[in-house]
Amino acid sequence: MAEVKLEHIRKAYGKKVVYKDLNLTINDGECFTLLGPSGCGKTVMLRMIAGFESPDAGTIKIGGATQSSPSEKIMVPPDERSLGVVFQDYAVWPHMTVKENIIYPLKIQKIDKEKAESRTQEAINSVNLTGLENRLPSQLSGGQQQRVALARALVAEPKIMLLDEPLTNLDANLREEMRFEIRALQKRTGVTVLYVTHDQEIALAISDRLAVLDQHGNICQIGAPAEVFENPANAFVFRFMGVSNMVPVDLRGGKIYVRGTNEILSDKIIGEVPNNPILGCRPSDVDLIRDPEPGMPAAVVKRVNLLGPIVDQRLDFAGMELRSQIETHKAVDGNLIFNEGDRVGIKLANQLLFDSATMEGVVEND
Amino acid sequence: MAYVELRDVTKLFGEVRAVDKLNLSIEKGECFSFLGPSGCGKTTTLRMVAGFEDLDEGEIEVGGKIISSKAKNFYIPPENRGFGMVFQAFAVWPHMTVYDNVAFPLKIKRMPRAEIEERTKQALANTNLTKQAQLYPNDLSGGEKQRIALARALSINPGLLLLDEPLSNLDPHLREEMRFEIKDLQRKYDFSIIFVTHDQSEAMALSNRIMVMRDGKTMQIDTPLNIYAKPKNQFVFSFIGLSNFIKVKLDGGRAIIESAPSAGALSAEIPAEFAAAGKATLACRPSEVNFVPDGEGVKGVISRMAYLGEIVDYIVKIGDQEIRVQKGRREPRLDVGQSCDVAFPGVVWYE
Amino acid sequence: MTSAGGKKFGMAEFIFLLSVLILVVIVALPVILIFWTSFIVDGHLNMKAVMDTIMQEETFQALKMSIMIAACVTVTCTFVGTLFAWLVTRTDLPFKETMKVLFTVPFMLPAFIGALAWKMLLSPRAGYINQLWMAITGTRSALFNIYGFWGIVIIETMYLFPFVFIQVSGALERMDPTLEESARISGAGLFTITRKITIPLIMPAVVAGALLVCLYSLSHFGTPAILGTEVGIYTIPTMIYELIHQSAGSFTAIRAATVLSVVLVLSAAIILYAQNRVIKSGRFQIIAGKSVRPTVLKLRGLRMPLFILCCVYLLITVVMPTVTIFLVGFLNTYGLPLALENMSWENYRYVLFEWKLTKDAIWNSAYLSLSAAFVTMIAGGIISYVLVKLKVRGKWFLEFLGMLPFSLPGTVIALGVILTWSGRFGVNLYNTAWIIFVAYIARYMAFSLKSNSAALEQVHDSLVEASRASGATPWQSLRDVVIPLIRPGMVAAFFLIFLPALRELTTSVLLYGPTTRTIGVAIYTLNEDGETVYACALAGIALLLIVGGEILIKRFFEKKRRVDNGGA
Repeated sequence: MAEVKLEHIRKAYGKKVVYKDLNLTINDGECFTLLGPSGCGKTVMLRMIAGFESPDAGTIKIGGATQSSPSEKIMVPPDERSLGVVFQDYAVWPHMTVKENIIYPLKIQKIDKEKAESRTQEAINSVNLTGLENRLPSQLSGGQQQRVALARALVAEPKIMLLDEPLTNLDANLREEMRFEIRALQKRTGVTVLYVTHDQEIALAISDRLAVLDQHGNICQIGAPAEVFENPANAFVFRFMGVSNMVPVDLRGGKIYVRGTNEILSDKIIGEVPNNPILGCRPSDVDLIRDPEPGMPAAVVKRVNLLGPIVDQRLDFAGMELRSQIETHKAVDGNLIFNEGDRVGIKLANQLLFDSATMEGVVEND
Repeated sequence: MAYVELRDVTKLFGEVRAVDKLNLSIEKGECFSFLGPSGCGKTTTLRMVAGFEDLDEGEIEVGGKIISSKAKNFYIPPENRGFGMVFQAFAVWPHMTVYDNVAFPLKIKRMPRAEIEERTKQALANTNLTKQAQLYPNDLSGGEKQRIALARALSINPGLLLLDEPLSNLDPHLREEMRFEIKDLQRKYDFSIIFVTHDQSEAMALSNRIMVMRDGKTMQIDTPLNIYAKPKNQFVFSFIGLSNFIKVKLDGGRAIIESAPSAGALSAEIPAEFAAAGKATLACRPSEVNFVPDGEGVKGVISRMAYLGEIVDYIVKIGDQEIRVQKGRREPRLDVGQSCDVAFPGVVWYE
Repeated sequence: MTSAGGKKFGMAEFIFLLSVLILVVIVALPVILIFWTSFIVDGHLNMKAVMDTIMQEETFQALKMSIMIAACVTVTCTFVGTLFAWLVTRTDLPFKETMKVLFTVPFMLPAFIGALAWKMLLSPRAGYINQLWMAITGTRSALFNIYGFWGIVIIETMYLFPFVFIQVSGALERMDPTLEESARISGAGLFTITRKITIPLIMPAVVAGALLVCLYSLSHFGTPAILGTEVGIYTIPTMIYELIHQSAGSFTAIRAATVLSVVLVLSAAIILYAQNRVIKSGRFQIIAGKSVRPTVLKLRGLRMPLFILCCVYLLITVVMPTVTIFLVGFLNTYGLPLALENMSWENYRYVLFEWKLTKDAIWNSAYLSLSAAFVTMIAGGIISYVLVKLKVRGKWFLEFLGMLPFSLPGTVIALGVILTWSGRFGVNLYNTAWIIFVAYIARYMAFSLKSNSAALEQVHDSLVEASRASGATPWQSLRDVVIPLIRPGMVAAFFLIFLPALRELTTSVLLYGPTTRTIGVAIYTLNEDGETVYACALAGIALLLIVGGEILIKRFFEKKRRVDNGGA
C-alpha cells in the first residue's frame, strides 16, 4: 500500500500562505498530476511529501505511516521515506557515469553487489539506455540525462515516485516521447506517481487523475483528464486547460445575448445559470457557415491564419473577438477558409456558462 | 518585373555548396519566407541579400538595380542598400534609449532634425512604443526589444524588410502578436518582406509564398496552403508537419501495405504513373486518417492513445506498420487494444 | 525552520561559527588594529594626528606619487590593452590566435623581476642598452634613465596591461555581431559603427580592466622599490616599508605606516565598489545568442607594420628582460661585458646548492606557499560552503567578513599581521616563518573564496536532494556528491594561491627575518646589496619554476576539460 494522504496541511512562508487547509489523497498505483500556474505552490507540496520541507501543521501519510506531523513532532527525513524523485534540471550527478548514478541508491541500501548490478542493468534497459552505461552525463543529451534520472528514481523500487516538471527542459519531440515512456513505465511497475507540472497537455496525457490548482493554492477540481477538460468546475479551469473564447452574456427569454447588445449568440441555455454569466467555448466548438441565412448569428472575419493542421480564424462578433479553429483538411473540403472581411454564420457546438467571479487571475496557457 | 530577383545565386563554404544556384523573384509588397532546417542555407541567402556575404556565382537585383553581381564583381555595401533588417537576438543597442535606437538610421542619413523627430515618433507609434521612448532597452521585455528592432528597421521606410528568425526568442503568445504587427505594418507601407525561419507554422501564418530549402537547394516555392496540402516531395511533406509514410505494393489495381499484406487494400485510386512501377510510398497527415465502420477500411489495432484535450493522439498498428492518427475532441474516442478500420482519404503519392 | 529532520542543526551552526572565527582572526583583527592604531591616540579618537601624519612632507609626497603613478599606468595600460585586444579580435592581423596567447604572457612574469631586468638594461651608466648607445653615438649621456617616475610607469604598464587586454578581448569576442551588423544595415559605415556602437559597448570591460590596473598599481611594491627608492621616489607601499624597516619599533613610524595603510584600504574599497557597479550595470548585456563570426576589418597596408609592432612589443616586454636575467645570471661579475668567456654555470650552482641564504629562500617559499595554499583552500572551502549553501541566522555578518580579503593590499596585510602577532595577544610570531604563513592565508583568502564559491554554486541543490531521496544521509551526500563536485574548484584554488605565493614579494618583504627570506625577498635584498649576478641567477630559477608551473597547470585543466566535455 503506498497511498499518499495529506490531511489538513498548512504551509506558509513568512506572511505568504501557500496552503491554508489542504486535504488530498493519491491512490495506490495511480498516476496523479498536480496542475497549476507557476507560483501556485505545487512544487512545495511535492517537496513536503518528499520531506525536503516540513508542513506548518497537518499530517502527511505514505502507505498509512505518518511521515510528517509537526504536532506529533514527527519528521521522517527524505532518505528514510522510500522515494524516487525526478527533478526539472535532471539532477544527475555529473561526476558519475550512467551506471554509477543509477546504482547509487542500491549501494546506499547496501544491497548485495551482484543483485545490485542486475537490478541496475534492468533499470538501464527499461529506460532504453543500454550501451551508454559508461558515459558521463556531459556526454548525453537532455533527454538521455532525464532517462538516467528516471532509472535512478526507479531502481530502488520506491513506494512513490515524485516528478517535478521533469520534461520542461526538453524540446517538443522529446517531451512527447518521454511522456509516453513515463506512462508506460508507470503502468508496468505499478508505482504510485505524483507528477507536478504547469503544462496542461502533459497533465492530460499522462494522468489517471489530476488536480487543478489556482494561483492561490486552492484545489479547483480533481478528476480524470476528459472530465476536467470537458466539464471544468469554473472559468479558471476552463481557461487554464486550453485556448478559449470567453464572452460576457445576458440571458433573456431562453436565449443568450452578448452582454449589452441584441446579438443572439446561442438560442439554447444548458445547465445552471450563474450570476454575471460568461459564456465559454473552445475555438474548436465554433463552427463557421458560408453564406449565413437571415436570423443566424453572423460575424466578420478579421484574420485568417493557417497553422498547419488547423486553420485559425478570428472573428468580430458584436465587438467581441471570437476564435474559430477548424482542421485544415476539413476547412479545405468544406470551403471554409475565408477572406478577411467576409461575413460568416456561426454556430456553437458546445457552450459552458461560468460565474465571471472565477475568471480572476487566469493565465493564458497556450 | 519582380521587385527582388535572385539569379543563379551560389555560395561556397570551402567545398560545400551552402547555397546552390538559387533562382527566385519576390513581388513588391509580398511576404516571402525561406523555410528549412538549420544549415539549409536560408540565413546565408538572406545575408547575401543584405550584403554581408559576397556571391560565388550569380547576381541579385532589387527594385531594378543590380546590388550584388559575381560577374561584374560589384557589391553595394550593406550600409548603402537601404534595407531594414531584424535579427533573432534583437540586436538593439543597450547604451541608447529606445528613441535613439530608432532615430539612429535617420541620423546617419543626416536628415533634417524635424523630419527625424517626426519619423521616429511615427515609427514608435506604429510599434506601440511611444510610452517607452525614453527608456533603455534592458528595462524592457523581449517582445518590446524586438518591437524596437522592428521600428528601427522601418524608420527609413525601406522597400525591403529582412527578418532573420525574429520571433524565435519570444514566448508563443508574443510571437503571434508580433506576427500580426508585422502584417499590419506591411499592409500600411507596402514593403516586401523576406522572412527566414525554421518554424513551419510561423512561415505559413505570415507568408504569401514560401520557399522550402534543403542543403542549399530549392525544394518547393508555393503558397502556404499548397505547401501544406500538395508538397512536391517527401522532404517537404515531412518538414511541414506530422506525417505518416506508408510503403505500398501495387498489384492488380489494389494498393497493399508492404508490411501488412493481410490487412486489406487501401481504397485509394492509383494514379496511372505509379501503377506500372508496382510500388509507391503514400504520405498522409495524422489528421487525415479516418476511423471507418467495420469492413470499409484497413484492419488495425489501437496501440497507444493519449487524450490531449483538443485532440486525441493515437498510434494504430496495421501489421508492423505504425500509423499516427489525430482526431478532434468532438469525434468518438477509441481505447488502447481496440481493433478498428482505418481509411486514408487524403494521401499524396511518392515514388 | 531547519532542513529535513533537524539532524543538521548542530553541524550548520558549528561550521558557521568556525568560518566566522577564521575570518575574524586572520582578516578582521589585523584590519581593526590598523584602524585602531591610526585613529586612536592615547585612548582617544584623534583626527588631527591623522591629518598631521598625512600632511607631513614625506608621507604626502608618497601619497601624491602613488596616485600619479597609478593614474598614468592606468591610462597607458588602458590604451595599450585595448589596442592589442582590438587588433587580435577584430582585424586580419597574422597569427591572431597565437598572438592572443602571447599577450597574456607578461601576466606570468613577476613585475619586480621585470624591473630588475630593465634596471640592468637602462640604468643610466651601467645599463647595457645605454652603454651600447653611448658606444655607438659617442655621447656621454644615456639613451633613457629607467630610474624615476617614467621608468616606473613604463615598467608597470608592460606587466599590468594584460588586465585590460583580457577583459576587452573577452568582451569583443563575446559581443553579439548583429549589434554591429544592424548598425551597418541602418546605413552606418565602419568608422561610425566603431565610434557609436562598438566603443560604447565595450566601455564597461575597459573600465573594469582599468580599475584592476589602478588597484594593482597602487598596492604594488616591487617596481617602485627597485626603480624609485634609489632616486628618492616613494609610493605608499615603499614608504610603509621604509617606515617599518628604518625606524624599527618607533611608535610614530608605525602609526604613520598605519595611516598610509588606511588610505590604501579605503582607496581599494572605493575602486572595488566602482568596479562592481560597472560590472553589474546590467545595461550592457551584449553576449551573443547565435555564434556568427564578427566582421573582420581588413588592415591592408597596415597589416604588416602592425604585426611588426606587436612582435616588437612582445620582444621588449617578454623576451629581452628574460634573456637579460638569464645572461646576467651566467656572468662571473656584474659589469663585465656579456661575452661567452665571462660566463659560467657557477652562480646557478652556488645559489641552488651552496649558499645557505638562497637555499633557505627557495625552501621557505616552497613550503610556505604549499602549506598556505593547502590551508587556504580548505578554509575557503568551508567558508564558501556556509556562504553558498547553508541557511543560518547572522549569515550577513559572514558575508561582510568574506568581502574584506578582496580589498586588502599585500602591504596592509603585512602591517596588520605585524600588529596582531607581535605579542599583543600573547603570541609573538615576529621573525618566524609563521607570521608569513598567516599573512599568506589572509592575502590569498579572496582567491580561495572566489574559486570555491563558484564551484559550489554549480552544485545545484537538487543534486543533493536527489541523493537524499536516493536514501543517502546528509553526511553521505556530502561525501559522495558535494565534495567530488567541488574538487576541481578546490584544486584550482590551490594553484591560484600556490603560484603567486611562490613569487610573493610585497607582503613577505615586510615580514621576513634573518632565516625566513622567501625567493622574492632574497632576489630583492640581493639586488639591494649589490649581489646582482646572484639576484639574477635566483630570478632565473624563479622564472623557470613559475613558467613551468603555469604550463603544467594549464595542461592539467585542459585535459580535465576535455574529459568533462569529451565525446558529447
